[in-house]
Amino acid sequence: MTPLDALERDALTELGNIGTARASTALSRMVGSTVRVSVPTVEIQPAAQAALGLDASFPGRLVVIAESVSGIVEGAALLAFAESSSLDLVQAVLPPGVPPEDAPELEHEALCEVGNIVLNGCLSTIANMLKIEIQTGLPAVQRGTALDCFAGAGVATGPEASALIFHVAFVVEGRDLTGRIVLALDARSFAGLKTLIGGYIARVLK
Amino acid sequence: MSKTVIVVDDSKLSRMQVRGIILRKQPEWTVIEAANSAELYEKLDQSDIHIAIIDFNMPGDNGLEAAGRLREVRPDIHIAIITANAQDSVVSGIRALNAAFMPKPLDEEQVGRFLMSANLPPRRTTGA
Repeated sequence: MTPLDALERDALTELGNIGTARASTALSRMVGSTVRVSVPTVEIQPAAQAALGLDASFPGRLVVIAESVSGIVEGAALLAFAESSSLDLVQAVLPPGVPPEDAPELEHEALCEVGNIVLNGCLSTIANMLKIEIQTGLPAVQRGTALDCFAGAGVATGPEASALIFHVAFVVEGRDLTGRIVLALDARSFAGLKTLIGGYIARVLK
Repeated sequence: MSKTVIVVDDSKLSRMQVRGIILRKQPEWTVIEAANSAELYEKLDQSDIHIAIIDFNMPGDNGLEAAGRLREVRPDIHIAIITANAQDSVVSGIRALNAAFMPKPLDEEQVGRFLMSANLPPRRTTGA
């Protein structure tokens, strides 16, 4: 895989930064609290290695809302939390007046809705800036280790399977709620992505 | 009058973009760059800076924290904060600092209007 040069990596990080900033705005409105977002990272690495890093960020099993990404770039977009905080997130996004005891019944639906809004907010911003169309699949909830969730989302996790991993952490203030947004882009779409990034850099710098 | 603008952003590409816009709109102005807030603080004493355009999401102090510190030591500087993060807490924080909110992706004309407003003579309250 051809490595990204410094400016390409910078551009990709910035695209992800803008995408996740938009997504955090949407999430903040849904949960009614400020959402703090970290500075994103972009790495080319085996997806299995990225999964280990994700597991280390949370206690216990994860709940991951995943959407497949297809078009010029292929892969998956994932919103990950500790499974233990899943119901807290659901309660935060349910409309006022819904009794807390109803949260478990609505959990799956609410997680899909949060994932859909956050991940699409991020991906649509990136697609618009790259001037491409990205197709996204329906949100699906995965549970287990990060590796289980990656595999369930269709991310290749074999020892030879490198991916371009975009990663950002966020914290919902006032609630014990932290999460990660991960984009895992398949190496096979890498040449196309480099061309797109080159076009974006040229437009930005005119 | 020629002005000096400092562009504070951890993305080199973004700094290049903002520099390009500034020099297209105000070719006589001077643009200096800082890759983070710490560099901004260092460069404050080295140049007579009139305008600061600061990214929000940076390692170290974020753009709001940097702008707040800048306001304390140089209350006369015109400040814009650029971000795609339009959360109420961020936007109200920017307004509380009397800074301009500049959404990403950047709109060149909006940056141009901010630069023009920063180039106007300060308003005077005459009491008349």
